[in-house]
Amino acid sequence: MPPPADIVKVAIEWPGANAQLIEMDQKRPLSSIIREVCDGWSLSGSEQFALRYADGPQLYITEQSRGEIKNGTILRLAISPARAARQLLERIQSHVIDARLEALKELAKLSADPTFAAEFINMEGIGTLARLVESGTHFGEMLAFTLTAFLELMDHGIVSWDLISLSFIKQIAGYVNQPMVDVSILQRSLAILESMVLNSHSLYHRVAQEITVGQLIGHLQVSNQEIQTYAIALINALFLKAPEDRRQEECSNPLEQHLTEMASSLAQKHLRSIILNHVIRGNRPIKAEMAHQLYVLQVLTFNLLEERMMTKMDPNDQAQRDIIFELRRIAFDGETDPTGTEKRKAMYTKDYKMLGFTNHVNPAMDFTQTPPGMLALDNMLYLAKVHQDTYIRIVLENSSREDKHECPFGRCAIELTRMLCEILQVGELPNEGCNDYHPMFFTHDRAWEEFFCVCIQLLNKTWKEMRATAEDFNKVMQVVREQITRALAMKPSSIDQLKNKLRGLNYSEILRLRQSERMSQDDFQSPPIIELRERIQPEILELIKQQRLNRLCEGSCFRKLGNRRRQEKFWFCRLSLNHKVLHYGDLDESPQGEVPFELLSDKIPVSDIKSVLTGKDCPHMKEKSALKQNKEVQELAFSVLYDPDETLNFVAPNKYEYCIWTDGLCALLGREMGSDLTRSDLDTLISMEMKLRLLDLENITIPEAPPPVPKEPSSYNFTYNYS
Amino acid sequence: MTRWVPTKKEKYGVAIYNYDARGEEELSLQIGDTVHILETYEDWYRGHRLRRRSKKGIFPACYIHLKEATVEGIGQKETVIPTELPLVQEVTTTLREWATIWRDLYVGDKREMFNSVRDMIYDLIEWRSQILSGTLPQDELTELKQKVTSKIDYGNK
Repeated sequence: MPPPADIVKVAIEWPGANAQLIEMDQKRPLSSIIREVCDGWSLSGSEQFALRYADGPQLYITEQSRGEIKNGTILRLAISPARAARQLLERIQSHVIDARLEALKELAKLSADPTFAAEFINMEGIGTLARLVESGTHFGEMLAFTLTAFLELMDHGIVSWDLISLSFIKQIAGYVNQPMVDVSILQRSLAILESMVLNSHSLYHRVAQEITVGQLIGHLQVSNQEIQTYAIALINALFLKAPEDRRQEECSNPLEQHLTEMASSLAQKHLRSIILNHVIRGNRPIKAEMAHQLYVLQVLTFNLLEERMMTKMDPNDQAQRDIIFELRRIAFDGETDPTGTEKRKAMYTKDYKMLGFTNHVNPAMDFTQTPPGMLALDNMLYLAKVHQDTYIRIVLENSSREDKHECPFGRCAIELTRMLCEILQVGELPNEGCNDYHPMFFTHDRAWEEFFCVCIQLLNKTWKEMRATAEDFNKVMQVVREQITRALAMKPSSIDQLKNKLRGLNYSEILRLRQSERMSQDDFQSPPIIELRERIQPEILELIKQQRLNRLCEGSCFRKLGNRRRQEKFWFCRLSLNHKVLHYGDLDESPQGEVPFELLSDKIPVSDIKSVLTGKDCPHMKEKSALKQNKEVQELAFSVLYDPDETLNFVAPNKYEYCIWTDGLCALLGREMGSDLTRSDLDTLISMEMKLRLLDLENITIPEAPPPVPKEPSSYNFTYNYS
Repeated sequence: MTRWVPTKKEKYGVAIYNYDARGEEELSLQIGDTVHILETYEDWYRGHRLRRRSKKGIFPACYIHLKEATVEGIGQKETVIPTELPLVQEVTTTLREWATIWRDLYVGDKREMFNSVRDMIYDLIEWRSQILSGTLPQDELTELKQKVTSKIDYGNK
């Protein structure tokens, strides 16, 4: 019988005593249970004791957490969290170094326990720890334990980070800035700084003043991936919390720069190349936590584009209009401007049309949509300046086409920029637990722009492959999106590799992939479809049976076995048209066309047939002479057993005939047709039938469960009453 | 006594689940069946399957995915014509015709013809689904339509 729900059976240990096995009544207060346990070992002052788990993180058991205790758990009687906290607080201030070290070690472990942490913090324990750090007297192992304890205690979120003093921050930052600091101290210091930055706005400013990029970059060049991860995490935290206006500032020397200017392009370049060379292309595999930090950095970096993405073009701003002029100039340079305002205007309009803008008269209007806003113009200008040949080729190629198949560069670039922002989720905060970073984006200082340049060429190519016209614009974009997302999913390690992957994913490949995905969807796993399949099956089996019997009625020619001297001797067998008699008889030679029943001298009524044997169960396969027959013949052999105790033995000319005949004979006897051919025929026929039945459901979602049937209608008084 | 109301817009649809009739008045449906809806009352429709018109019955409205169709004739002579692309409809009809021929080929054990007709049916199904997917550019769509038409002509010979 199971024990009552409120009772858990546990063992309780106490050093130097025999364990007690008790049935713990979950309805009784813990304190009274503890008193009873103490009494068992004659310990007085039971309020000074508590229960902890003996295994795992050895958490204290509280009234709140006791419900999780399971039968058979081993618990340990221990001094209460309050008493432990008081003792440890004294011992960590001991003047005996060994005692202090021992106490800090214990504290570091216990601090993870929320019950203990609450007690310790209540006694101003955090302040004491901070002072120990600030005093600068702790080194090595002792300091590492102190910092661990501090971090664990703060992680419970009981105390606000805002209360941390500046001198403490300076001390911790000092460890990070020291060149030869102990690894465990460095790792904890980085973690503490990260928590400070993430949890308190005022601390962000203080930390940012204490730490420079150069110092953190130094920690990326080590061989310890854990340190690298913590360093990137701190960089990310600083990056994430940086005030909007300061993220984009430029600075001449990145190494002396404070982290508030983290995002400045020069600092980023340096950071990027260090990460590429020492982390991504380092010789250690990237662990999940590092992948997450790289992903966060990637997201934060792309988020810098958000501002431009959300900026509309001001059609009256001359500087902005000049960029469009510049695009025109690079594409159509050398053509002299005609004199006369009217003529010039007409020419500009023609040029803007060739550049593929939607508003030929005033292309600035094309950039008033956000997203992608000015970001699209930035991308176009980058292409025109950095990859001038490509730019000119795309524009001229399309502007000289006389048919309707030109690919409008301007419209494409704008739409593509928007799509890339969507794919990379520009402007969205990083997801917890996402590790989706792309090594490629760390390989180039202008990775975003380069990415755009590759994709615009792809778009142009796909457009041609699809022989698209303006009305197909969205369809082309859809294919391009698929190409890009598929290529990104392959995690190309560089921009060149991306080009490679995209080359493989041309339009016909996408079509092929789509088709094969459609086919596999047709595997039809949803319940109503499986149900339908089962319902159709009997009908299809009937079809197969009909075919088998038809074939038996036509009859087949079989070779006689065992008589080597007269090898080419044949006999023929066929079923009467009313399916009641098997006719058979010898033939002198292989027949051409139909063999009439009159030529077949022998017969067996179907009602006399008792069973059908196959393979080595057949009498003729047991005969001595047949033993020498190879396995191949055995697989083609079958026999009909009929009254009285006689057999008609067959060896089919091939596997196909074998299946037809054994199936047909089974069907005559009302048995299941079990041949491989039946299985494959069934599959072929059902698959087709299903496809045809579901033709009208194309593109319609099929529910997983039957929709609820409504209440019966309250009236059956129909309007349409024709029979 | 209240009467069932003839439907105006809800005239044609396809069953999205198998439905087993639970009484005399009800109509059993199999997933994929197309139905001609005559009238409605509360959460029910009354009508018949397109492929077997003689049996009328009621069925739950939630088992039907409605599709556009135009109605011709009134009362007893009412018929529905789905407003899908005419080509798609032609392909659908052709496919069903070929499937009957295909089954006959099977029963007659004409394996070679059986296999080649099967391939043709599969091609046609794939093309039909490409046309319906709406992702093809105009040019290709036009080409595909020609391909389908000539395949139908070829197959019908």
